[in-house]
Amino acid sequence: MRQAFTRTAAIVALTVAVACASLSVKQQALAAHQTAHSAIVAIDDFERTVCKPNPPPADNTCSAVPRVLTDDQHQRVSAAIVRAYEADIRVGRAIILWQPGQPAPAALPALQAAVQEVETIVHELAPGSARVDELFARAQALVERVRTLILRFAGGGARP
Amino acid sequence: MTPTTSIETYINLGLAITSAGGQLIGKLKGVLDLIRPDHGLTDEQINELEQQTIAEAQKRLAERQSMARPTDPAASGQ
Repeated sequence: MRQAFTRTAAIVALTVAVACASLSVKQQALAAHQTAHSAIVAIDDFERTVCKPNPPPADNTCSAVPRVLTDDQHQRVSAAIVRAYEADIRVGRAIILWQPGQPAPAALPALQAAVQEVETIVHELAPGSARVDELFARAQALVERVRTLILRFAGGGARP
Repeated sequence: MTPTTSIETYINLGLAITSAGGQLIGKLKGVLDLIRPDHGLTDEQINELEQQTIAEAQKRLAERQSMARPTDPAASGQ
């Protein structure tokens, strides 16, 4: 019984692996980009809950009590997120035009630099708060997902 | 066990097996839909999804740009 279950599980795993491998390189790039984009959105949303930005036009200041982020940190994180979105948009446009065998989108290094900057700023925050820990975890996840996106092009971009 | 009870037991057992079988078939269909070879997207579908991602990024970019402004010392009284 147990051997039969193991064999069935192995067959299902192999079938799923083959099905995933059969997806086009461009679709795999799309999936990796969507995952990275979702990670930017996740840290964007969470930073807003931590800071509670005042309504525009004063939304460059935080209203959260107690203060987790200073206004300066909120502005710096925002600037890095702006750069991440700008690069994210350029990567998206490049993927639309991209075909297997072509070089990786030129905006990928800018995206990586922007998300690493987000991580660096968050790393400077005073540790010990669950919200800061959560923010840092999301920043690390973002960096990891962008790295996966870059590897997707490095590993599959040169092959049709 | 009376004959009536025995018949009810068999009916209930039959219904349970039918229900479980139906659920199993539904799950298998879901797995097959997931792994079938034509699950791949066309270039047009990929591009459409990318356009949606870009549109969302542009909306969020516009919101974040105002948050990235340095505080005006004169306005804040510093």
